Amino acid sequence: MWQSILDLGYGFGLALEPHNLFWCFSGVLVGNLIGVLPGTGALTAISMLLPLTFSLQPVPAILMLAGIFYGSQYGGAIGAILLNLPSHPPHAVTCLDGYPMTRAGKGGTVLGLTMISSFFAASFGIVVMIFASPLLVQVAFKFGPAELFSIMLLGLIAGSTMSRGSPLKGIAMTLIGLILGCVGTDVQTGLQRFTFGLPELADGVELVSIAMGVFGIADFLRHVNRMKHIGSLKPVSLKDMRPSKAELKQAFWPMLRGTLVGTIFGAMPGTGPTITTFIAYALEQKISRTPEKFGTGMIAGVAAPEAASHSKTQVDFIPTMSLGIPGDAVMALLLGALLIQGIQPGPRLLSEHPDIFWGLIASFWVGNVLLMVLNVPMIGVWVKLLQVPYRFLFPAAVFFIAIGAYTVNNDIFAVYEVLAFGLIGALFMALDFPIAPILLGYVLGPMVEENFRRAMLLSRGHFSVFIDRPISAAILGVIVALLAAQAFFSLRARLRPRAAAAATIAFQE
Amino acid sequence: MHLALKERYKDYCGGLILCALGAATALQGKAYHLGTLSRMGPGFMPTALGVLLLIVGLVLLAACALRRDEAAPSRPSLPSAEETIPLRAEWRGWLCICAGVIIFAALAEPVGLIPATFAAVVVTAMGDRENSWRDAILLALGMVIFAVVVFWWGLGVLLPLIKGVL
Repeated sequence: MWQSILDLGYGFGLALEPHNLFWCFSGVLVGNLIGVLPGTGALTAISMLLPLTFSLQPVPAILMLAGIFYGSQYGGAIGAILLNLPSHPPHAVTCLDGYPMTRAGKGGTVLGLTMISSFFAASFGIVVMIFASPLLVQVAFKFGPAELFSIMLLGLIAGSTMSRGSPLKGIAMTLIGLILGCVGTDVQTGLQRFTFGLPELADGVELVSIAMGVFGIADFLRHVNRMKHIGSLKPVSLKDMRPSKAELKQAFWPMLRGTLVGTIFGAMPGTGPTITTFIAYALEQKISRTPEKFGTGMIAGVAAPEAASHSKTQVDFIPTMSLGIPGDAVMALLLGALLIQGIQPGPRLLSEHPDIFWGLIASFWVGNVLLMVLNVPMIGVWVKLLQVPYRFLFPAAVFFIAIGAYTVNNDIFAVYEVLAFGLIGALFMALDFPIAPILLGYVLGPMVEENFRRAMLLSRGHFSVFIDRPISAAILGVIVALLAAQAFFSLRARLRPRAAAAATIAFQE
Repeated sequence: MHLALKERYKDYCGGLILCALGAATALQGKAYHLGTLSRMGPGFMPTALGVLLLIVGLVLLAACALRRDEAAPSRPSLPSAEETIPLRAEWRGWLCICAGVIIFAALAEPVGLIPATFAAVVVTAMGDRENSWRDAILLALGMVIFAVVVFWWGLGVLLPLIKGVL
């Protein structure tokens, strides 16, 4: 406990070093900028800016990426509240009550409340992270290959079945991601797999190419000439953003409940951010004295989901950093970025790279403070940015992606790779497949294979090793329970289509 | 009805693609050394994944074939960026975006950063029906300046500005 606080002090010292602070600040700024632009969410922002961080040292690189993530998350909320346009799926719920309030002339107040809720929830999540991570690390040191394989399986199955859309399609995309992870030189034998004689593929498919392809190019292919035109907006001034005392009081309990919902869901690997915000919203509606008023501009309907989404984000970092197992696509991207920097997140990260770990935690908090400080004077600029027409936006973004892919290895081949993944991503999106699990599978693929092979080697080829070891068996039990719950809800939805539709949506979104 | 049919068509296509991908992966994986369960070769995992993908594809196809043509449960509508989109083929946009990326990749090394950026942005921008040539060229000029300042001067990208000149 005391050790954690001491280490945290060290982390703050690191995060507040001028050049680290500078990169964190630029991350928040650029992330916010990209998050506000219509049609680009956190995933697009991180994928596009990932190559820029390769030239940095590991600590500033990860600080910048975390900053980008926060910025784009908050930027997405601005679009959802002011324009009813969620560019990042978790904000779909925020639209429900945020946009009606904007139409009632209270857009500024909602933005202010969102900022307060996010900050509160993020701070709470950080505190949880400070105390829970070292505990999890102690447990994680006892993990052998069998446990690691089981927990990765849990992450993959939860991530693919509890995200958006049909669970079966999610599993299919995860499998494709895992297969992509096999491309390249096999670590144990040196054999080249699926390279088709192309020397560029010997090191595997580039993470950045997949991410920029499926979250960037595929998105533009889908939205070109289809994004609705955005009319003019009322400017939001600083004065509008300050909520009244009554409004703050109204927001307080929903904010607290939302934070708790987010924390609980963050602790479960694989539960997507969208389902978290949805459940926070449903909870508020259920315990409200005036549930019929939701959807017409209730403060609780904005404060709770936004708080949930931010605390979940924080808590999500715990398994990512202390086990090396990402919960969703954003975490997978950040994990991939660390791997590119030569840092393997996992139980040893805390002892081998305490600077990264504690610096990251401190910078989370610093990043959230920067976000507040930045948004108060900049809100007018963001509102203007919301009106940048898509027809200027996507050509510029396509150029960014092309040159970004090139700069990773100074290799033109990566640019063609991006295009290929863009087309694949657009095809699957058009067929209603969720594409985020591809990335989760790709990042976890090599680790899954390595641990599976090692576990089977140790057990001399007996599958019973996964059940004989208690931790592994418990995790497998959770997987079975999860799949059973999924089957139950989808069956119930089929038998009683109308009554249960809402429940299914809540589980599948 | 129309909507339900379309969903079904999508699932058929998706299932077929998955089966094809799975089968191809499994066959290619078998070409590498499979090994035994206790000593897996490099081909084991790809083959297993390919077979799993094939199974998922088959299940999807089977679910399609078995599903009766009942109306899908009505979903409570969530606002999303995609819902308002009328889905039509956008060949102009698609071709221009792909062409933009290919042009950049093809020109960057042999001709240089400035012409590659300019051509790629102009071509991509013309994918939007509302963009005029004037708009596209102005946007491209802006991006060229940005590319030179940020990527060439700031980040030191190893591309020539204009091959043979700078």
